[in-house]
Amino acid sequence: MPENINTTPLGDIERELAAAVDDRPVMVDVDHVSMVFNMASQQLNSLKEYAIALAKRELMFKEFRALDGVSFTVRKGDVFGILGTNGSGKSTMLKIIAGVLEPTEGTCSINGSIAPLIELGAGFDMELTARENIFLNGALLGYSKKFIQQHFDEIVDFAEVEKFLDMPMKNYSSGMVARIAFAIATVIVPEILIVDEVLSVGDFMFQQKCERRITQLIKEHDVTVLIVSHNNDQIERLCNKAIWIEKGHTRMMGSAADVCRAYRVLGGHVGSAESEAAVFSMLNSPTRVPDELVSSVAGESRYGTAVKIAEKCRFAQGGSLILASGDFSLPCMSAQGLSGMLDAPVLLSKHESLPDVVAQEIASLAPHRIVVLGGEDVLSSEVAEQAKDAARDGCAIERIDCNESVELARLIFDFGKRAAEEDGVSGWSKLAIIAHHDCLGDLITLSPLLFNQHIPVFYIRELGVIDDATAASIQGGDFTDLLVLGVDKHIPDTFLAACAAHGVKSERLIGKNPYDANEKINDLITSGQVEGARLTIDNLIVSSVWNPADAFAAGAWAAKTDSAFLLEDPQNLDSVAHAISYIKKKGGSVKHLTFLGDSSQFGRLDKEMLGKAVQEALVDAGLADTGAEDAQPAETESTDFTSTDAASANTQENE
Amino acid sequence: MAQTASTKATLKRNWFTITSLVSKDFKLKYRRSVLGVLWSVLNPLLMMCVLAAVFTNVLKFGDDVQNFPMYLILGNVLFSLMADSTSSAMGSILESAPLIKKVRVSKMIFPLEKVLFTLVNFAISLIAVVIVMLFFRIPPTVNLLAMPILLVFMLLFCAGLGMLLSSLAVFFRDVCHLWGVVITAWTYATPLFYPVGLLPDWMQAAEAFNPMYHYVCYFRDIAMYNTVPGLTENLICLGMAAITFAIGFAVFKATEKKFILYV
Repeated sequence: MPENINTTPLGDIERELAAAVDDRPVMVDVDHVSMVFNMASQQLNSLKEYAIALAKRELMFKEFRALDGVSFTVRKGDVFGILGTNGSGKSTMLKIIAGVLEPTEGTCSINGSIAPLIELGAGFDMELTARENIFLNGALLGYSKKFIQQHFDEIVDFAEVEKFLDMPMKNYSSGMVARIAFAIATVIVPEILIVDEVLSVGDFMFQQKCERRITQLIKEHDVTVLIVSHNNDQIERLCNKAIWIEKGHTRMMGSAADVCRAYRVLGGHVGSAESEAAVFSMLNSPTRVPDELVSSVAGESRYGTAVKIAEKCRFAQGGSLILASGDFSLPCMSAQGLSGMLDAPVLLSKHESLPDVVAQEIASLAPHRIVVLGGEDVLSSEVAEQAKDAARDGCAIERIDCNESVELARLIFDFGKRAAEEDGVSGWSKLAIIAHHDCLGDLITLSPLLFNQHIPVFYIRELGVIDDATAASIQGGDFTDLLVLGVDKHIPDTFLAACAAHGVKSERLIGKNPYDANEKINDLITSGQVEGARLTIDNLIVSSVWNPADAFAAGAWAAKTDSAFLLEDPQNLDSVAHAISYIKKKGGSVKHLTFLGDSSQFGRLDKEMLGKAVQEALVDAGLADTGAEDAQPAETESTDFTSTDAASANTQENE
Repeated sequence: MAQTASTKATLKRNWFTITSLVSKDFKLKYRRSVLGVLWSVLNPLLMMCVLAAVFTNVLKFGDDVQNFPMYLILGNVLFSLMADSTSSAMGSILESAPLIKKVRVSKMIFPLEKVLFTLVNFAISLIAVVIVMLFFRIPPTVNLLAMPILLVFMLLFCAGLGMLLSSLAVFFRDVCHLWGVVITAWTYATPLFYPVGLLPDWMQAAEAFNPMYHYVCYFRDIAMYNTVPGLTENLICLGMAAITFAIGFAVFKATEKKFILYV
């Protein structure tokens, strides 16, 4: 678990408690319950250990507070959800309510019969048959013999195990065991039902069946329900109220919708308290995000994404095409400048074969030349063959044959130099970049500039070591400026001094963290400081740091649509808070967001929050009216590129 | 009124749970064995044959006792009731840890169930005693009607020991290892296969403090010596059982809330 998880309450919990006054009878009243486990004593299993611990005076120490002063009330008819990350004390809470555990401090009073669905099937004996187990488990759950006899058929029907009733349970599948357990536990109509993650067992059909049964109990019998689940959607769907417990502390309590919303964005995510507060207030901001403000681009894979981006850029048919490996980031970044020079899209491929979607795109682009980046180990000869087959007849395959990224970057530079002369196009920029391998995020942010200005990227070999050949290329008279990504440890000042001696001025670009660097680079490329750079941040392409591969080939697209990159880690609240403040700081310069990646990268709320930031910044700058209340909430889940990406389509038409 | 009604309902529920568990243990014990329940009869019989052979032919003091095999089987069967029930009750809480952790269930059920289950087996092994009585033509007498009284003493005694051991075993697993040794020592310290007169005087005096000595004597008195134990003897037996039960019950009640943290 990350260390810096916030546990302070969000919102006023006491007020929530006081506000919960209504006439319905209280079914469960949890009053300042704390649970302290003595960690040391849990491990003492023999007299010897006990004596040793006693001698060391360790016996009374090592307390672990699983719950710390948690209070809430559940009223009749409530469906109450308990949310929290692993180890936050949810299950301990349920066990206290179920009466299995006694709280160390505080009280927990229950008003009515309880059916605990906690880790079902605890009393099953696998040697016994299902029939015998139904009676045994029923007895342990407190049913009478008569009750079980009366409802026996019901249980068997629900569990769908008629044919196997007299078979020992050890021969059952785990799904069947779970079904019987659930059927026994829910055959009774209790006043309070406790559900702990049980719905995650069994297959899809059975899960639905379980949920139907629980819904039936809620609707028809007015049963009070407590649910613990990791599944946010489930809680939101079933519950009306919820509490969020983090590391034993109450973080938030209130309507299930509100708590789930906050949990989805903040739950289990790291970040400072300030960042969290910023994100939380943005989450709760009532700003409506207009549909056209936010869009998404996502392919089925990194290969598909690269293709979609290439389609978007509308490269001319019969031109050049660059094929890079989707597994290696460095050559892709080096290829951005080449891509700009040759006006060639960068497509990605697997090592062993060319993905179908890429082959189709090659066929539709019908290039006369395909530049394959890397040797046999990077992209196999099958890939080259397949690319050749996909392209039109007479397409030339030019392989830059090198299996090693540092050398490959230099060879790409050489290739570009030659190609510019042969093709008669404008060659490399006077600015070069040398980077450390870890500066991928910086390079992605720079990629529109790389494409636009045909800037080559070189890499260092290892800490402080720069290949002679690379140094020779940089100092060989082609460049006047050098942008250095990396600190002194990576790229030593001595090298920069040597460059200066050859007439190459260098500048170091260092950010406090990846997001700060991201901002600095965006400032750099929009400032016009770099000669000829005319980039804007009208559109921000938001890329998740968890999946940079989607951005490997996006330089051309960003450059052609006046876009800049915004790197964000949706799991890291500091990053999200930085993104929000960045957008706000730009005071209305950002007019559109494009999220790169599917919903596994950015959730609906992640998108909505940044969308709100953009909208608020626009409103503040007087560029949008606030009367957006009647607009639909941003519905941005779409993999269909053309139907959603309205803003970038506009910019394209302008070109 | 409502209070007693709910207590009654709880008791009834717990009784159903206990009987369900006993029937589970019973089924599991004999599942997949050809002779099944018959083993509960055969076992004491075979054990008796071995012991009788050893102590009559090798150690030669079997002859001092009239109907030595009967003497043996009575002591053995009754002592097994104590040994088996306490040993199984001892591990009962630890064994049912998964259950205790997840279901709210009266924890006392587990040691009591083990004692009851052993009692059922004891009842079956009484058939072996009957067979021996038939074989040696020992006529049954009305004294056998005192049998239920002895069983009540034994139940209380074993349940008390079982509860004490089961709660101690939760906190110190050492108890489990130690108890086997204690049982063995106790077996030899109780006149099961030898006449009590064989012991030195001080040990004979010490036997007065051995509850099992009293219970075994009680059993032999009513089953083979055709005598009814006097009031004093009954009171001694009851006292020992009641004290043991009270201690076991008190220790169990005092510690049961902590079980879940240690199992």
